[in-house]
Amino acid sequence: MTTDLAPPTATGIVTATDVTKIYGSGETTVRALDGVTVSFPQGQMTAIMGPSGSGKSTLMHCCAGLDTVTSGSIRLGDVELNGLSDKQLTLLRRDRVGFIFQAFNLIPTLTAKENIELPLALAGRSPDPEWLRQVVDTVGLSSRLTHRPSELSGGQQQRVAVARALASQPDVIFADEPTGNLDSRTGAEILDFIRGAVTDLGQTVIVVTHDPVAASYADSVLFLADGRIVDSMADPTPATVLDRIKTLDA
Amino acid sequence: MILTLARRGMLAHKRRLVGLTAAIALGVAFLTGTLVLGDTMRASFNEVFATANAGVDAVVQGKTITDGPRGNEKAAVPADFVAELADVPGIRTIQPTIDGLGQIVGSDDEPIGGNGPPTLAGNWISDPDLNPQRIAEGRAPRAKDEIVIDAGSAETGKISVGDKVEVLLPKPVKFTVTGLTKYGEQNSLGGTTYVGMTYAAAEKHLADKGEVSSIILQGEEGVTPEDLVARVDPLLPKKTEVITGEQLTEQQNQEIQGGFLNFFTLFLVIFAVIAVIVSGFTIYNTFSVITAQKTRESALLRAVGASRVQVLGAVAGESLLIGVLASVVGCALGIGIAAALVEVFKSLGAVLDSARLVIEPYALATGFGVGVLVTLIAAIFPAVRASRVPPLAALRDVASEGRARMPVRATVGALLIIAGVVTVCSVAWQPDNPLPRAALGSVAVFVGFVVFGPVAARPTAGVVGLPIAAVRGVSGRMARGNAMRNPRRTAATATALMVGVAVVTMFTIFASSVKAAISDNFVGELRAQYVLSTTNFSGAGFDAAMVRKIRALPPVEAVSTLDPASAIIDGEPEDITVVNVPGLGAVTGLDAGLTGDGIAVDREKAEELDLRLGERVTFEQAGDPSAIAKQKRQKRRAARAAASAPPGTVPPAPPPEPKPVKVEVTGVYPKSNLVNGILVPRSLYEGKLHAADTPDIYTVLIKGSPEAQAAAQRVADRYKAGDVLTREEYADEQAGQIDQLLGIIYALLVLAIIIALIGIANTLSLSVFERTRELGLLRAVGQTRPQMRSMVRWESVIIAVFGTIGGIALGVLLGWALFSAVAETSGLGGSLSVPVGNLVVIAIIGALVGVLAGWRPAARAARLNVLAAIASE
Ligand SMILES: Nc1ncnc2c1ncn2[C@@H]1O[C@H](COP(=O)(O)OP(=O)(O)OP(=O)(O)O)[C@@H](O)[C@H]1O
Ligand SMILES: [Mg+2]
Repeated sequence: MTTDLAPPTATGIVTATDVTKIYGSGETTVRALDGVTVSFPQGQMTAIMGPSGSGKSTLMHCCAGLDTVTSGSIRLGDVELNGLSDKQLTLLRRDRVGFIFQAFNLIPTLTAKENIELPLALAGRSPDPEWLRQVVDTVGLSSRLTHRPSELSGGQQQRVAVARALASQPDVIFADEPTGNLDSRTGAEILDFIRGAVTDLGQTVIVVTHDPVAASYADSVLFLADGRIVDSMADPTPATVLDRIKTLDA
Repeated sequence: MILTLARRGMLAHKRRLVGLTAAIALGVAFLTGTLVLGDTMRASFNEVFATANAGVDAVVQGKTITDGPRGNEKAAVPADFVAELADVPGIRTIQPTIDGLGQIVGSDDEPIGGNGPPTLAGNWISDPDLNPQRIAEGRAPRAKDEIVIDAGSAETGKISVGDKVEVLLPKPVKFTVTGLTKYGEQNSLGGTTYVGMTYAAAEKHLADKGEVSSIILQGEEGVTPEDLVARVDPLLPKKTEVITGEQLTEQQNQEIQGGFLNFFTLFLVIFAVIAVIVSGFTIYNTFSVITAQKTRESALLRAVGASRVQVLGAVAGESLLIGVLASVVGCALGIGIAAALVEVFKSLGAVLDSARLVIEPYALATGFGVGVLVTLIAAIFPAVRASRVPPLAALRDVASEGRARMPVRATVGALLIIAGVVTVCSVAWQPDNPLPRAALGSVAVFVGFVVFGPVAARPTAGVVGLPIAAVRGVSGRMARGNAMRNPRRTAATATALMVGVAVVTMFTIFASSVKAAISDNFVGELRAQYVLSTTNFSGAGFDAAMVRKIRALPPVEAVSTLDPASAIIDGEPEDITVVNVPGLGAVTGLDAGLTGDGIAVDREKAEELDLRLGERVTFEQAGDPSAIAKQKRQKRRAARAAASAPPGTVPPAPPPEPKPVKVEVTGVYPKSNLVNGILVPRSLYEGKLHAADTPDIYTVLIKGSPEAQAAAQRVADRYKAGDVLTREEYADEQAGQIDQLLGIIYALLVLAIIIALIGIANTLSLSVFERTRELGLLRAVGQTRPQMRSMVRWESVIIAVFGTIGGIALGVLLGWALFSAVAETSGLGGSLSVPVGNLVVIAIIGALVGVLAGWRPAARAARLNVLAAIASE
């Protein structure tokens, strides 16, 4: 099944074509992704939803160059990920991809500021101070920059993670349940920041979530089940998303 | 149940197990190997003496006079006692022996041996019952100018039967070789060389007139060795004794064990203990990390109802299993090491070819027990600490590393260090008996360092990491952060290396200070420009005639020998220096006021012995008061016999009473580092005081121009006496000998460093494992594999450099303690010399240890699967 989320004019910054991912071999094989074709439009926020085990994280990992596909092709911008070496993938992630994980996002020995600058530092690039200030201001961290992760609350830690993802101005940010560990208010704050980055800065974001409210921040939602894309929805609201999940479950 | 847990825990981490086992096993192996080697050598020597004395029923020999600088000196036995023995009933064989030293000159004109094992010479005894050697080729010497030599020397010197060779006795004498000797199948014994000559020749060349070294006795059928001893004993001349063959073997064993062998084993055991201490810290550290990681698991166990004791039991069980396993491996390895070393020693001739490895139960028990005990102790401490954490606290927070007690640590550590330093310092103003205080202070300083380590870890790692962070960018910055994040672990990891480096530094500083002192003493104080000294300290020394000839050379201004020796003064053994009166002032600059038949003492000695100029002291040749008492008894008995004898018969003459020589103190001189506290003119020493038969000339000082050196060299060449060195060259040569010893010490310490390296690698591996999630994140956001490797490796380097810095600081303190104690007791003088260059080399080696230790953990970290790492919790 093919789903084209983007209007024909918008360029897909990340494109998966007929991607299959099989774990294990013999009797224990799991088809985590089963012929997925999708294109994520630039400058938009896309949510991926689906029941546990449906392959959301797998899809995200494959698109981000963290994992390799069994068959099919992934393109990030003009780069075909298939066949890239580990080193090339690493550099690609460093320079063109941002990550926000559910937890353990930060390096405990580095301060908030150092964590934000980490991908740039790894690349040996010095951050653009103007941009950095803007990012830090956006996520509201100016007074916390010299603190270590252990001195920050869970919400603040996620904000640092968002700032880090934004700092290197990546082509695309992948977020795997970024608010999964937070209470709904703090979660809403984080999602506001992410949304702001998309609206104000033109950042492309792909976010995996179980939460219809979180999904409602996105421009469109993609529904996965058993490794296949089963549906999609533009301009979601919590209610419509919840509705759709119910029909899909049924 | 608890044992099952223990076994599972052990098998779950095979790699960790390998590291732990290796660290313990190496320490145990060194210890066991040392003990087995010592026992084997002891047994080998025992066998040598037992065979040598197999046919000896009893022996008459001189009593030991002093423990001289060149070993025991025994008094001689009057030769006419041989004739007296002929009247004693029940003696079948009376075989006098004359032993001395003689160095064979090889066909290449180089003297053979002399750098350790003695160069023996004596009268050839043909009775195979009394002589462990046999003639393997040729025949026994018959004429005065014939000798047999050991087959080993023949091989080294390319000498065959029939050749004419020169032997330094120490005067060069020409002989014809008529035969080659062997011990059983062995060419020579432990590198000793041997010259056997006729009794007449030995009398002429090796003995003082009318003296023999010992008399071997064999009893007739039915006469026991004890009977023999009982019969001969009442007749003994003064300063001699008679003992059975068995006692002789025992005595010879004691001598070699009390001397060389014990020293050798003790020396090795010290390094084995250092290795065990280092592995102890390594194990302790590994268990600390494991326990920290398992705190949660233990807490869970306790939450579900396991008691503290049960949790501790699991740890004890696990460590016991590891300890037993590693100690068994270590014992086996130790036996292997000993076997290999014994083979090496066999090829050097230091151990009999027939020697079998002697594996005493105690050696295995010691190695095994120490291994198990150290492992248990090292494991239980962290476990007890972990078990104190209340279960709920542990479940909530995994990394509950106690930081609260840092101020206590800082105070206790600092106090210990200060107390230790003060104790060592007290040696300077309270010089009496400095060694125990220096040792106590050193231990306090060492413990202080270990206690203080975690306090210093964070700031030191921070400072050490700064340049690395600056140069290596973000990888360096994170390496620095990682090294600082858990100061207790960093300190514990570094401690093993610290111990190794401290000992290396201590010996380096000590050696360099001793070298500096020697060189100062010689180059600084000596007026003579040239030194002729035999490096062959176990050789025969120099011929007195050579010294006379050198003195007579026109360009030579002054000559004096300068030989340390010992004598008994007013009943106490004292270190003396034997000098030539005419030359002394000119070559040493000392105005000692020696006249030739008096002695001189330095001010310190004068005070110690309460001596003034012009007073007289007693030199006694035999230091054994009971011998004197016995002589007096005999004299009384003889007098009574004379009184009751019928008139007309001539009473037997009473044995002569020992006459202590009285000499005057003719000079008092300022303390000098060149000589001991008592100067004795050579004429006096050889003429009246010295009981042994060799002149013992080993060091000759020559004052004069370069022409004097050349002329003296020509004389020395004629006596095969080696090179006439400038005093600077001589000081260098002495330094070279110290460097050689230092080299051996370094080699022994390599093992400790390797164990420390394993320790760092082990801890880093565990840390990498612990930080899997974090490393995965780093890789996800774009850290390349080389960056990851560099991060782990630099963390290793920072930890290693921290340990090295601590080790160098500790080593400087310990080296200073050792040197001040030794300088004080030996009168060496001089001041501490810190060889900065060597310390820099040590620091670089320490950093290299870090690079090596970090290698595998870094590779493992870089191999991490990013996704698996992110997914792990
Ligand atoms: N390394 C792996 N080895 C084997 N199977 C795997 C592996 N990773 C994922 N899977 C399987 O692939 C399928 C998809 O997993 P994935 O993690 O993508 O699900 P998900 O949609 O992210 O679920 P959740 O919402 O629980 O995070 C699951 O059935 C999972 O068991
Ligand atoms: Mg998932």
